[in-house]
Amino acid sequence: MRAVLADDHYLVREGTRQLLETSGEITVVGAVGTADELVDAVRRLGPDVVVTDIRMPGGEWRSGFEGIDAAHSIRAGHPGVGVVVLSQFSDSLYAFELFKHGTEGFAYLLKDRVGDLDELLGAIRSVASGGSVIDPKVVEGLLARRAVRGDHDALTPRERDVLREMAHGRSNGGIARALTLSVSAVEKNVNSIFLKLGLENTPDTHRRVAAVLAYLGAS
Amino acid sequence: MKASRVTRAVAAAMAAVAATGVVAGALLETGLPAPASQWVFIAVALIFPALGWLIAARRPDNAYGWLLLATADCMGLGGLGIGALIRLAAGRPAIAVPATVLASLFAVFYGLSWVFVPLLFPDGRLPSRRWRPVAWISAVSIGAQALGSLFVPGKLQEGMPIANPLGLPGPYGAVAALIASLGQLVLLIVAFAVLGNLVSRLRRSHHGERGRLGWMAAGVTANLAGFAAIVIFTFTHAPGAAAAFGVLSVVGALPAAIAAVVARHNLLDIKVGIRGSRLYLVFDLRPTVDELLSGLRPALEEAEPAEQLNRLAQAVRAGVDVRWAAVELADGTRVVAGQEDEEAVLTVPAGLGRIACGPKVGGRLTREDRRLLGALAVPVGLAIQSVALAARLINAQEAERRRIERNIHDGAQQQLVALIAGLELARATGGGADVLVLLREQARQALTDLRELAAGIHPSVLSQGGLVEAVEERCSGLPVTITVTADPGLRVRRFPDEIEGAMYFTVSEAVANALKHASASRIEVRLSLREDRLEASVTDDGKGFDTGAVARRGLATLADRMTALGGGLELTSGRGEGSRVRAWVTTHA
Repeated sequence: MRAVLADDHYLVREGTRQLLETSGEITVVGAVGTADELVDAVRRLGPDVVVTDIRMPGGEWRSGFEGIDAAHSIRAGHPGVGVVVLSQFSDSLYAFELFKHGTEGFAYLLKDRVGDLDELLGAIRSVASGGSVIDPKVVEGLLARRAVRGDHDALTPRERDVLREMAHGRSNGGIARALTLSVSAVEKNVNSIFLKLGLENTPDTHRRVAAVLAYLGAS
Repeated sequence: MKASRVTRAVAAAMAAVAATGVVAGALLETGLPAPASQWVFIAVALIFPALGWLIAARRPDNAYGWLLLATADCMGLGGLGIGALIRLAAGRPAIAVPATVLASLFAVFYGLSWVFVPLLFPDGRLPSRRWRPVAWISAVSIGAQALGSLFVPGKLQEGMPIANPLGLPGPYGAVAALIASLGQLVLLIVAFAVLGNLVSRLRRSHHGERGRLGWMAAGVTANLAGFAAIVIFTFTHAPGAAAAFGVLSVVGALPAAIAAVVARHNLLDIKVGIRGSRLYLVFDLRPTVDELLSGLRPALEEAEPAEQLNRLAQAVRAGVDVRWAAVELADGTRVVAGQEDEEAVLTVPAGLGRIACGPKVGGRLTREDRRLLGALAVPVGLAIQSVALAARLINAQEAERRRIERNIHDGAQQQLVALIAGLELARATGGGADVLVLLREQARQALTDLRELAAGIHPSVLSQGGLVEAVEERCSGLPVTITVTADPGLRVRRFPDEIEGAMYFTVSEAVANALKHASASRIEVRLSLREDRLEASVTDDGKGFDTGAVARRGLATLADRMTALGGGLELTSGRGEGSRVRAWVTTHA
């Protein structure tokens, strides 16, 4: 896969580039420092995927939202390009901003995921094929927020774990591996979650992410 | 305005003339011993001069008191004339002629009480300029009636022993009678117009005004009804009770109404009070400027700046006696006391903002009110200033927090992310010793940056070692020649945290400015303590700047901080002259 990286911090940009190239699965065809350069690089280089920082000062973008706005602009102009947004913020506000027009092809990950290459590669593969990923920590924050508002979902701890993995864009098999459960146990939990949350069950992982997000975002 | 001795004497004399005329005229009319009804008449008639004297002596700048006195004089002298005509004039032309002239003043009394007493109520001014022609027509009519009645032939009243000694014969007498009657007719018409105006104002008025206008309308109505009763009595010879009612209404209704308004509605700052069994009059209810300010002081000392504005607005409203008062800040923020349901009638500047006032509760704004407002503008201006200062300090604090947040996100956090990426890379590739050395350097750099960030928030050397230590630490290792001198003894002195903090950051900012913008090669920092004045100065030999043209940004915030501590900050510079920042604060050891 061909990727373009964008981060205004040189060390982060170089570290991520080396890390991704180590996998042998990804070729970094461009590494840039601003949202303007990113949009330009995508137009010139036609990558399969973009990994971008959320905040890169400069240009005519909304301050603090440069990465998200560039992501929307890229998906609008090049629907085949998946975008992973790396963020310092675990506030759900930014995640909802990214997913506000739809979840397809977007991933919202916290920056410390660069410490887990498999995780990062998983998200990149997912968005490249039109899937979507939300960082489990963001889901955690959303669940905590619902609890503060007094919405108790009555999800068991196990179901919460499964919900987080669903939001991460994983299939039942993937969830089973991640949580070291049997696939049938995961299926049971997933059905129970959808039942409790009043969501329509779907095997399509991408639509599952959207459903979970919609549920978590609803006040 | 306080009454001078002269105005007081004039008012007393006018009241005495009226009272003497009333008493003498009444007693002449009936002779002694006078019947009880006559004493009642005298008592009621005396209200008029008493009220006029009270208002004119207390509020000589209000024409209304003088109008009441003049009306009372016409009543008293007119009554004296009539009494003299009845008892003394027969066969004595030397008395009959002046008595007739005096008696004609009764016509003036009617004219004044029908038109001018209600029309000029309560501040001695016309309700609007449109009433000017009416006032002129009335004045002419009063003159016509008085003058005409002088020359009408025959007896002035039934029961007079003699005919009018000035009465003109034949057609001249008829003309005089016509002029007098016309004058009276016009006055009656105007009287009803004034009454109509009172009633329509009464219907449109709101709470505060309603009582006053209502009393006045009732007084005018009673007066006119009394006059009608006298006329009917004269033609029909109705029983004496009706006549007595008429006379008492004519002389007493208006002053009674005015007295009621003064007493009940605190008009003209004169109020009737009852303490124990004693009735007493309170004058000058309006607080003086000194009373107002000293009354405010404790309230202002305790209150937060925003609450101070609120209390000042209330003080303006109460002090000037307006329906509403507002204190407006330069940014448009308003603090309003009372119901702001009308346009402002007066605004005065107060420091960086202004004071706006609605209409007075009674009457119009006087010179005294303006003086009071002018005095209140001083504390209002100061309060506005401190509110603005507090807002700027809070904004500066917010901006500083945002700056720190950005620094942490874009600096330390990013460095840690890079470090994590590097570690993952090392794990994935089985990186060797050289990779680990590189990563250790990255971690150290992150630590250094964090340390600097923390020092920027509050250097630990400041809390541990004090101001001089911290300033020396800040100035060491800079790429220019920089000297720090401190008064002996200052090194071991400690000051409150807020003072040390403000002083340190002022020096730090000034040094940073000299390095960044002035390209200075030498910087001198001086710290001194004279008595309890702590002063820091930073002088550089850089290119300087035009202090008027350059926004002071960081230093402006620090200047606010120094001001909030009761100190100050001064910046002197000029193109090519280097620059000097001086900050001082008073310490209370």
